[in-house]
Amino acid sequence: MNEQAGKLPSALSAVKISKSFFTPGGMFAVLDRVSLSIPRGSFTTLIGPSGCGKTTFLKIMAGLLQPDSGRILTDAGEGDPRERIAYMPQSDTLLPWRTALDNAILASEIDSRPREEARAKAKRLFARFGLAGFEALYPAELSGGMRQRLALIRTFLAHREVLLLDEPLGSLDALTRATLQDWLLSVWEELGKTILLVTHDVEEAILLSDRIHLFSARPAHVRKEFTVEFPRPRSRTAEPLVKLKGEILDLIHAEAFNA
Amino acid sequence: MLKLLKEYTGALLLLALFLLLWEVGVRLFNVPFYILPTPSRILLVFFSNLPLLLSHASMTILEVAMGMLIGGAGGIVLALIIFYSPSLERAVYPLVIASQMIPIFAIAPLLVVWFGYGLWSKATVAALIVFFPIVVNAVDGLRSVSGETIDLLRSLHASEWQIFRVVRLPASLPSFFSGLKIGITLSVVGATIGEWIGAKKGLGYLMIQSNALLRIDLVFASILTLSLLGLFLFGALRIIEQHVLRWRTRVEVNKTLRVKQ
Repeated sequence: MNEQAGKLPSALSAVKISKSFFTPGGMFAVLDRVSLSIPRGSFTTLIGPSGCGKTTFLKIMAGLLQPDSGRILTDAGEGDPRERIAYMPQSDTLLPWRTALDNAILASEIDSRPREEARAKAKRLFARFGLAGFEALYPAELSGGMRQRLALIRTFLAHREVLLLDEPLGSLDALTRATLQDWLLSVWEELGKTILLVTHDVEEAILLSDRIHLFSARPAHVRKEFTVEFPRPRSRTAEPLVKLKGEILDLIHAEAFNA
Repeated sequence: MLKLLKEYTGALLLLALFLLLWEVGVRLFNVPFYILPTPSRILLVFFSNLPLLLSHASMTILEVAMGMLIGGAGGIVLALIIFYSPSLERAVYPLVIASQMIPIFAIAPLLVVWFGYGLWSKATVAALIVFFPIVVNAVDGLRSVSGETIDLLRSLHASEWQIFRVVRLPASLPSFFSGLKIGITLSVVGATIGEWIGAKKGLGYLMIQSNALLRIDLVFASILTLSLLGLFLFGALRIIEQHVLRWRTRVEVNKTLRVKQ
């Protein structure tokens, strides 16, 4: 999968993205010429010290924020990335008045696709991803792990090629988190999508991804890029994995110290 | 029904004790009925004058309904303007809040002069009272949607209209209903006071007339009818709310069940 991913054209790439915000305290540079590309079909992770601008970068990739300079390119060239991406915000953002099934088909509804067809498709995904029987429940009636899975199903059902996930497992307990990491991996392999995942969990990044982009402290640029070539499924305790984890953590701590 | 009785046992017992003391006190001290009638006498007058009370109540209900309709529609429009136009918000919101410093009851006589003794002067008083809680609550409701939810919709290329229909409108309904519930009880008071000042029919009118004739028992019977009317309107609104907000009702019921287990 890795070598393949390297040869394929990139699904989405960022070219020298810079972004600053105006605050009462003055200009606040968040991103400093960030460039990276996401090969089609790959699982890419963005990691960095907290508050370094990962979410801002993801929002720019999603077309929600305009960069001060730089460009976002899709495989169709320059254009609105929203045609290509499905974005999942940090919190699950499920609509409390909609049943699980109707939350899942939100994107179809916005795109004015036929509702019954979308529902049927969503039901099949529910069954495959362990949510069968929960279609008619409201989000408040679901557990944290189920809510997160539902939000991911909703993201898949947007029918876009690239999924931009902002810490989708960040709010979960360690056990649920580990289960959902395996699950996310199997879903990615099964559906053949391109995933860009933001996380602050180094182990998660190594377990899941083909490539890891390490952000520097603010203003962020890509500090280092790692290609993870361990075969899947990966074990948390395998020696090379632990070694890589140590290496990345050292870099992050150095960055945090710089900031 | 039995469950309801169980829930309100305390309140009902307290009310019964109060009425008992009232009954005994009036009889013990021989208070004449044209000063303070006994609860039993009020109840008797209430039932023997039921057709009269109901015909006056129907007028008050009509006034409240029209007031809710006008005040509600105006409140929703104003809330949307305030929410969607920051410059109009700065112009309108302070005036809306300042308008609440004017005691509506003080201008009620003016409204009678302008709109006459009939339905419309009272409907206007009710509408003026109702619209404020509706505006404030509806604006809060429209603002209650998180930035992340809006980001999600925008990332799906949703139009402003779709964002309104799919997210803002349903998200604002719970606080909109809170506004309605506050408004409806206030509007009964508003309509009644409008009727005191000038009317040809209605429970407030009946109270003033009975008071002048020293029919204090009928005044109390009117008050009883007004309270029942308020309860009825509030209850009806709650049933509508529970139906419209089925999702919240179900989630709440499940929570209490879980706690009880």
